[in-house]
Amino acid sequence: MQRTVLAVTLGLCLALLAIALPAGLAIGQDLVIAQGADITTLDPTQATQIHNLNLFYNIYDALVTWDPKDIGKLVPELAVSWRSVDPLTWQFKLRQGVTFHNGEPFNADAVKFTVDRLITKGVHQVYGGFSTIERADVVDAYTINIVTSKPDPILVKRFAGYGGQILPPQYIKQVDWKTFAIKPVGTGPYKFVEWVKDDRVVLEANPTYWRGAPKIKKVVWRPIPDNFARVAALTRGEAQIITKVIPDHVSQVEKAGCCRVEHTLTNLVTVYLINAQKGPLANTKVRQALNYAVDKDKIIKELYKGYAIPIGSGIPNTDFGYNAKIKPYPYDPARARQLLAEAGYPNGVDVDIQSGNGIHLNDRQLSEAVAVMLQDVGVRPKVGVLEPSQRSQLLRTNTFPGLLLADPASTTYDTDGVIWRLRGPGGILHQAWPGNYEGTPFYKLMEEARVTLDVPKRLRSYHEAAQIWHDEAPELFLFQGELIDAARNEVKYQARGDQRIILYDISYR
Amino acid sequence: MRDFVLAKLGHTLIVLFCVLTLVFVVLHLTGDPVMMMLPSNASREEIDALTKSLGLDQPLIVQYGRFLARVAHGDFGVSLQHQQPAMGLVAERLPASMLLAGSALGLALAVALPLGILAAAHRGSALDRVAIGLAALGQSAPIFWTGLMLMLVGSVILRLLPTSGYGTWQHLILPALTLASYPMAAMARLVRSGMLEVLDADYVRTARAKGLPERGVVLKHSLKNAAMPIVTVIGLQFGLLLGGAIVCEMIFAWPGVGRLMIFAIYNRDFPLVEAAVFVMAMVFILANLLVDLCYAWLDPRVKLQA
Repeated sequence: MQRTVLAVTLGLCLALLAIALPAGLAIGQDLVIAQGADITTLDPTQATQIHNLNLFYNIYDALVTWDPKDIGKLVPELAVSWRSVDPLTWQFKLRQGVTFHNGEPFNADAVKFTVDRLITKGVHQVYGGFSTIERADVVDAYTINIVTSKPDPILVKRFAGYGGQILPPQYIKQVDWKTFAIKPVGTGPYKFVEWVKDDRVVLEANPTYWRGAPKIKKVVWRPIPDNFARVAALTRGEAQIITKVIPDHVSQVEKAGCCRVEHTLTNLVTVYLINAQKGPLANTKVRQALNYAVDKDKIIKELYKGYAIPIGSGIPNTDFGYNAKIKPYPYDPARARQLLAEAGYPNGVDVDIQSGNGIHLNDRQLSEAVAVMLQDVGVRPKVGVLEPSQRSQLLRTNTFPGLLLADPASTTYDTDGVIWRLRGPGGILHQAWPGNYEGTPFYKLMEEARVTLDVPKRLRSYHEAAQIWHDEAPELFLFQGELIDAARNEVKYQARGDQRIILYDISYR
Repeated sequence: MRDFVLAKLGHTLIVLFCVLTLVFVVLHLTGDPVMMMLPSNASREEIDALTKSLGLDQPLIVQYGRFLARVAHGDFGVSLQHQQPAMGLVAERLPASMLLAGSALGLALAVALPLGILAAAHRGSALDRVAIGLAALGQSAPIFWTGLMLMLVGSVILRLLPTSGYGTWQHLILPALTLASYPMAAMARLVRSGMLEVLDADYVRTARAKGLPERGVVLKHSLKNAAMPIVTVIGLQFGLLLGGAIVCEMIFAWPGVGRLMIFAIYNRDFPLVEAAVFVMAMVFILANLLVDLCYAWLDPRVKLQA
């Protein structure tokens, strides 16, 4: 009896092993890329996180994209040219002879179908990027007009970021959105092969791609959540490129001899948002004092191993409107103490400092370091750690007390995106600082820049607004961070400022 | 027997109802999935539109009623992040989790049983002391540390096994070893102490007096009598292993339910967390039911009563 039970149990275990373990991956000259998380969808209107976007950018094409050497500058993709026909209409001429992976032709109908989806509210996650669009009019098979409700100087840039990927209308009508999200079809350089959830997504080169067939034939995207495990996979040769190397692991990559880190500045600015609606933080001098009290250089050196640059306003140097004349607040504790005294707080103030724990790189440690520096000038800091959705809720309701760590960025590489979408009317941070309410000079400048098609005038408005932003200090400005990826030496790969991994540009040496 | 199983299933329903209610309330009161789904620069208008389309603008009690009605029909809804049926997503990952938990438990038993028996049979010997030391180490080392150390030694330094992932039996070894470390130690200690108690019993002395070989005394007369608490722990451990594999799954990029659940909690993906918790609770309850049934098999004096 007992022997039978034992035999049956063993048999079941072996059967389970056989069912659960699929055949191993053949790697060879294929490329394996390890990211920190698995994708959640392959429908480009349903996700905005970079690990999802990286798949979208390779399976789909957009009308336009960023110049890899000069992120923020547009280059054609599925559109060959574009122009503003009148203040409310942008016209795109489309590339001819392009087909989707299923053979469906790419034309103005596909663009119209995509735009119609983008401007439907409440059914996907990228509406916000396209809310100025009223409709898309097909002019002919390869010409389309996009009509906006008010002049939109950054309309074309909107199509270079998330949500801008052109969808296949016939295929989606044939299957449905749910099937499309797991078996996607695009016009991009890589075709979808399979997605084994939480284990791998496999893509293969599209041999008929309009720019020519990609060099690497098969690419496997693996999610490896643990930072150490990603580095180990790279040094062992199980992955050829890994994303998000933390600064503490850089030396490990370099020492391995087989690999190198690839890093570049991104458009992510790390700041503490300040709730300046009432109390001491409503006083500009107090906010300036906080900016003088924090030694940004030391933080960058100690916590981020130098992979960042200090900033003097919330606008990164990658974005349109960046004002190079604005320098970071110098570290000057004496000046900070003096400003606090002038503001009527010679005995210091109580300030809450909130951050997540693992939401941003070294966030908790950063808050602790900032707290110590603020303490030195007489501030009585209270450090709090928030769980992600709790943090989001405080942000949404503008009820965070004191300082809240954030890293805003513009997907359009424009000051409008990094500041005014958050701070302008309808933005989630509009309430946090009275200096951006209607009737203020800042409001006037930002609203003017939002609707004018006159590029030099926009630039002037942003330069002026950035100066106010710096002087009024509605944020504790810290740094513009670097992206750190790593690759094996045999792979030609360069990290991009837009954080994208574009497979078409990658090859073996 | 039939009444016993039926009564147990009745209890199961009550427990599941309580678990789901608790999860529903805790999740809905502590976070908002909309903010996690939309980009950080989303406008209030977008937030409101998505909140409405997900039905999250309704009073909590209405949402709860709808939730119960759906669950009663076996429908856990569609994952907010994945846009796919939540139960399907959990079911896809369940084999990987079962495999890992099953292997870890098998490994733990395979080491703990002989080690515990040998330690008890040679009480006070060097072997006993080494076994106790190893057990203390296994129980006190945090799983993330054990996992990283095993990866460092087994993959990075010795280059014997893959660092992480899923696909071949080699991929299974490090995560299973990591996950097994705690229950292995716990069970070895339990087997040892259980055996020590039994080895002093009258019937063991009688067996020895009858001249039975020591091997038979230990393995046949003593082990079966010491097995009751071990079976209880195995049942509990399986549930714990399945749920507690989260850290292990994160370190070794193992595509199991735990990892799915942790990201779902992080993103406040209500339907997905509810489906995953439901499945975990079911497995836990079933494991306990099996333990109860095993009692009767091991000890004929135990009657299964409703």
